[in-house]
Amino acid sequence: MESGGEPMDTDDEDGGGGGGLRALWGGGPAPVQLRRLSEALRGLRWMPLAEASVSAMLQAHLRLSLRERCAGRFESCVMERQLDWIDASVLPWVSAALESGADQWRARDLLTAASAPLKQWRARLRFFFMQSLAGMRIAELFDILVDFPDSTPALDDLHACLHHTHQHADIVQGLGEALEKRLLKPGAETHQILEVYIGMIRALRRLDPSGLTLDAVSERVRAYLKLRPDTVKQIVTTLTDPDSSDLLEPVGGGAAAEVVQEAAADGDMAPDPDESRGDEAAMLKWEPEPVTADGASSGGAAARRAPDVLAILVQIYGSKATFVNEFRKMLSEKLLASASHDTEKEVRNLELLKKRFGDAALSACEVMLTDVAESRRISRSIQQHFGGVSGGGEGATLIDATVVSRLCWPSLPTDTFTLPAGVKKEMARFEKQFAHIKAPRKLVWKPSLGTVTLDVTFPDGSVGDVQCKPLQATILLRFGAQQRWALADLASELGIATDVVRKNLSIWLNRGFISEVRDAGGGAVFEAATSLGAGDESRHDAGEDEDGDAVASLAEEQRIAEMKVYEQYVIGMLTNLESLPVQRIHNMLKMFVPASGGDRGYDCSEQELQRFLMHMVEEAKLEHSAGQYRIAGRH
Amino acid sequence: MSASGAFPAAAGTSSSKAGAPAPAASGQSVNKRLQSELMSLMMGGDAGISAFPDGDNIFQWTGTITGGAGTVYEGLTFKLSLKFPTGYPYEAPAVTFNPPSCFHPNVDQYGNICLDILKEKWSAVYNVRTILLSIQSLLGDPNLDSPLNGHAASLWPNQADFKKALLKHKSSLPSGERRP
Repeated sequence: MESGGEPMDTDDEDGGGGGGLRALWGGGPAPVQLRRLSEALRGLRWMPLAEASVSAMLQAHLRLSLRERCAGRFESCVMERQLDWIDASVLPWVSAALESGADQWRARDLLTAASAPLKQWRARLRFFFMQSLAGMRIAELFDILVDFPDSTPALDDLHACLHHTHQHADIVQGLGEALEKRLLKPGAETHQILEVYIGMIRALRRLDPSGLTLDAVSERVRAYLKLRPDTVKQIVTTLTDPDSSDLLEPVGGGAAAEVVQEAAADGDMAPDPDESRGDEAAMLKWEPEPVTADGASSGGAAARRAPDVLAILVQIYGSKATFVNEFRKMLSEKLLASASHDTEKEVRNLELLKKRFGDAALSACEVMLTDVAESRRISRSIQQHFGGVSGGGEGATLIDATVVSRLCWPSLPTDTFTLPAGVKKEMARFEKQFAHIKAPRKLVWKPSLGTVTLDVTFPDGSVGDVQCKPLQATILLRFGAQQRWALADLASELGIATDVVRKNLSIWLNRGFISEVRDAGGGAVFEAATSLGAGDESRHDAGEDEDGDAVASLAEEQRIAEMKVYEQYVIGMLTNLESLPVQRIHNMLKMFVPASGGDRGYDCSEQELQRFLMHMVEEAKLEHSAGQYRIAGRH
Repeated sequence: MSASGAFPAAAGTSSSKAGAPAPAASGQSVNKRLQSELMSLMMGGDAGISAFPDGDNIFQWTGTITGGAGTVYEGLTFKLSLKFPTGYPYEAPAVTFNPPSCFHPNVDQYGNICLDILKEKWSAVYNVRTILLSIQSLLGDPNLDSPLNGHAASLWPNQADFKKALLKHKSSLPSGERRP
């Protein structure tokens, strides 16, 4: 049935050019030559020989017209119109070519009084048309997904075609290849990939409500996203972005989704996927699963019926523990970054997540939020205490502390530096009062976290409400006491490394509060500006960028710090078993460090372990050669 | 007669049925116990002793001990094989030097160790860490009253000679302490 070199045959068939043929499809009387030819063929009883050519020619032209009229247009349904066109224009031609009846030229009569062969032709043409349309749409599927939901009509067309042609396997393969070629590239941003994936989830659910196709296709996307370090972060960001709360809405299930949404509207709360009403409707809509979309590969039926996009996104990781953990980290960053202790939005997000993951999984997050609320209360009471009791003596404390429970928060950076004496005194005062109120608990300060609000005064003016990190503030304060500092002196004064000083100095350099001068020996010396000048806001950007880098490397460091637990295991393993490849180490850790109680157990990927092992190699604890790790210095 | 005879039989079957799940359940708890012992051993950070499951089976461990400072064994390391019975910790694990490279009055040529806590004095309060520490201290403090290796026992009083014999023994082993 496939077309090969048909254009030549077609010319033989109608005796005229291709243009003649297209004019003919427009309707009107059959050209004389055609009628003569077909009569001659019939007279010779050669018609069966010609049929194959006619069929091939028709297919070629159908495909051509389809491409001309419909390719790349997704915003309207084309199938019905094109099928009508086949009935109205193509069939009469077939009838004229293959049957004697010149009187059966009108389409209307044709359909009612069609001969059996003509009916077969009609069915054949319709099927071929749907196959071509489906093939074309499958080839364009990636663009359709990107355009979704504007491309819904095209999807509906494809859905209708698939009903007849069952090309699910082609979708899985074609779309999979398109994804790999166009999306899953290092150059694509994670949030873009996620956006397309979300679009894909919705679109494919519409296309194939059973979810089998989606499952088979998304395997690659999932595997790829899993390799990206910032995926969880992006998902949570998307999730906590108020504009995209629709992630929690059910997708696909058509009527089922509506029912659930109605139920939700009544109760004015987020839709609960397990609500029995929704399930009932889903049961009524049950259809046998298409066999073609080899979905046996992954996930159970339950996974495929995952009711909303978020659930599917979480499936990327297989376990919710990873996801929850990442959320915890993000929550911690957010809570620590905002000095206002305003947690209303976070509480809302947490409640939404709790509906999905259960209270137990998120109890740590809940404690974090409680901590913040509690901190506000404690800070206020301590401030009141100092304000009230000692009156004008020492005055109210200026410190507003966020007190966190170490066990429930993700590991926080522990870098320290020498705080200014005044701040130290304030902190000691706060600490004492805290111990008084909350005995037997005591405070351990994390001086590198938090924000400081400064008023900076110059002889010719002042800048108010400068927000910065404590370390940056401390550095600036040093310049208040002494006009010039050499980099090394400043570093030793603060008890930190020179590059850290330089990094944190940049904010003041960029704002023009401090300028860099070189001393005679070429060492870096910094000098406080004597006037405000015009330098304030203008050069602010560079500082922000470096901040981003710092955050990224901080995350990496934290990850390695968290994996430190496994270091002893790795060393124990290699002490006794001499040398092992990373895969064995990974498997052993998985086996012997299971999750128990509150512990998460070993849940890293092999890549993460590899990075960690290389880190240990850098620290000269291990040696690595020929894919085997061994304890350093033992031969 | 027939009725009274039937009872013990029935009791017998029912008890064997009830007995069947028990090993499986205890197998689970042995597993847990060994996992937590492994964790405390890893986190304990005792110098000179270490052990880790051999492969996929948590009932079979390989241990490593280093001779204590100030003894003739200082600086030497020995590998042990620890096999845990399903009745652990109510039954003692089978601990041997593997390869049998240890020249010691209380260790025979096959690596068997004569240590009371591994035999009749075993108690469920002992664990991998105490076993390893006991063996480590046994190295420097042998029990000469019941030697498994008479030659070693006779050399022991003269530490210099013993050290010589020990090093000779150690180097005479083709595979040494290293295993493939």
